[in-house]
Amino acid sequence: MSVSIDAITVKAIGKRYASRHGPVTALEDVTFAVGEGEFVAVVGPSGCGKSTLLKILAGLLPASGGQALLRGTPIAGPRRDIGVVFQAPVLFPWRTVLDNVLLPVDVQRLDRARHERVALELIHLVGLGGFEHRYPWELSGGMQQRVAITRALVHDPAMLLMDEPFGALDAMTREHMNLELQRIWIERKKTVLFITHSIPEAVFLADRVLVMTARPGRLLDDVRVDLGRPRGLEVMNTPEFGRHVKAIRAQFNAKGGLDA
Amino acid sequence: MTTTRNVALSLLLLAASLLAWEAIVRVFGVQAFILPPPSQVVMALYRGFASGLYIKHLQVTLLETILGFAVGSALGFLLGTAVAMNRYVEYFLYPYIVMFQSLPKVALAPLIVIWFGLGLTSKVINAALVAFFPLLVNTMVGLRSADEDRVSLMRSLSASDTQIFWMLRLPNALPFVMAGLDIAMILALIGAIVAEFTGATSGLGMLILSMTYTMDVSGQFSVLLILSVVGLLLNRIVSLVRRRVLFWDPSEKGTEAPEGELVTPTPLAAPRAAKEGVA
Repeated sequence: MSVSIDAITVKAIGKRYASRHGPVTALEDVTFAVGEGEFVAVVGPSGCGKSTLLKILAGLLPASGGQALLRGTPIAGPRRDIGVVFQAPVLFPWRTVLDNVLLPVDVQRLDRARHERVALELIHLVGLGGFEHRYPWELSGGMQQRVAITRALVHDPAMLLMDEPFGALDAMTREHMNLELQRIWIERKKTVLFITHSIPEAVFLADRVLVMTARPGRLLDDVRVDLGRPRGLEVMNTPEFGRHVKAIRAQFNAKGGLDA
Repeated sequence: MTTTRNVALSLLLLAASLLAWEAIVRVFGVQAFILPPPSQVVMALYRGFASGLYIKHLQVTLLETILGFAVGSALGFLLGTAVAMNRYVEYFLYPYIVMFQSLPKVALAPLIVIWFGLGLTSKVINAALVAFFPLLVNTMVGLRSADEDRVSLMRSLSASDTQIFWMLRLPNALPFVMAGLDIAMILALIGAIVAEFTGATSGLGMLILSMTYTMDVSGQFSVLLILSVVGLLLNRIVSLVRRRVLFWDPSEKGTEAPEGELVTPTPLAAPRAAKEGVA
């Protein structure tokens, strides 16, 4: 129905790189689009090139073929209107929580005083109030990852690219973080591309799940998840949720299992 | 409780060994010019300080050491930065640096004394020469050891190379730089003393040498005692500064960093390696 320009448009993207054992095709002919404000998860086995895809979108890696557009303009390098969250929190140990969150502001030379208010607000939003002046080593893994998410939001980017941000967390913290992320997404209305290897996580969070295969990384399916919002953890026990998870898992099984 | 007991025990051990030393020298009648008893060393120490002789020479050696340390480590840091950040500098300069590094620098002391005379300059240069390399190498390694993920993060924020240097590489290199300073401080003292041995008109090294000619072994022992205390103090000062600067470094606290450094299966290093490969 919407006629606006898509937030992310990926057309026949491919990525090959040289390795010690000859050329490797990480991505082949990947095409999809993400609408403005949409939450899209990319799920696939390890080595399916999903992180490569994210790095191309973040402007950290050039694609070997095809075209990627952010809001209609080709990606020619890192951009200021995206926020990236990596697998590890990647915090700077010599900066406090607040200063870590303000890193994009410092790098992009934005108005620090104004963004400090934004940062403090966000720090409270993710439940880290009172930890502004602590250092990363004083925080747990889940708290560190929340700092990383806050940092990705502070300069108010239109898009969030998240590369298995909760992969290193324990199951309980992970579920909690999923709820938090959904809440932030609903409150902030960002476009999110969320990479994960957990099918339930993808189904729980996303409006659409892109299913990828490994070697070469190809797009297998594009599954719409029509569960209401906001979703509580109990949604995972519903038959609809189970049906989605099962349908996606069946795709992998047909291809020889998740870690084939 | 245990700490006070440990201090008392270690003091007791020191006193016991000094007593044993004194006793052995007296019982076996060891000549004072071979091994003086501790009492004579203490007497020499007292005489030296009372006459102002030791203070005068100590000042000279300290000045040489600190100037040499400052000059050597500043140059080492700057050149290390240049080598780490510029591949032309690395390509053309680094082979010579490695060659020069494998040379025992103290062997240059006679040459430096010939070139720069018996005064302060030759001592400072010699001290600077030996203090230079730990800083050079550690700065290089430190600047290059910035975590790939952190570099990616900075790049994703469209940071310039200059920003990546100041906001990431430099603070990241500080633990290495501080470790280099730790070593450089002690090496600078060695450099100054060796240069004084080769030719000097003052300084504790010159004093030791002149005591050799008069067989004043207890005097030598007393100067050695001063030197070890000076070395310890200088080292302590650097350590204090290091702890202040590196309050965030887990190795300073003796605890493991809770931060999970994860291995990503994707070729994170590929773009960087490719860039560096263009020579």
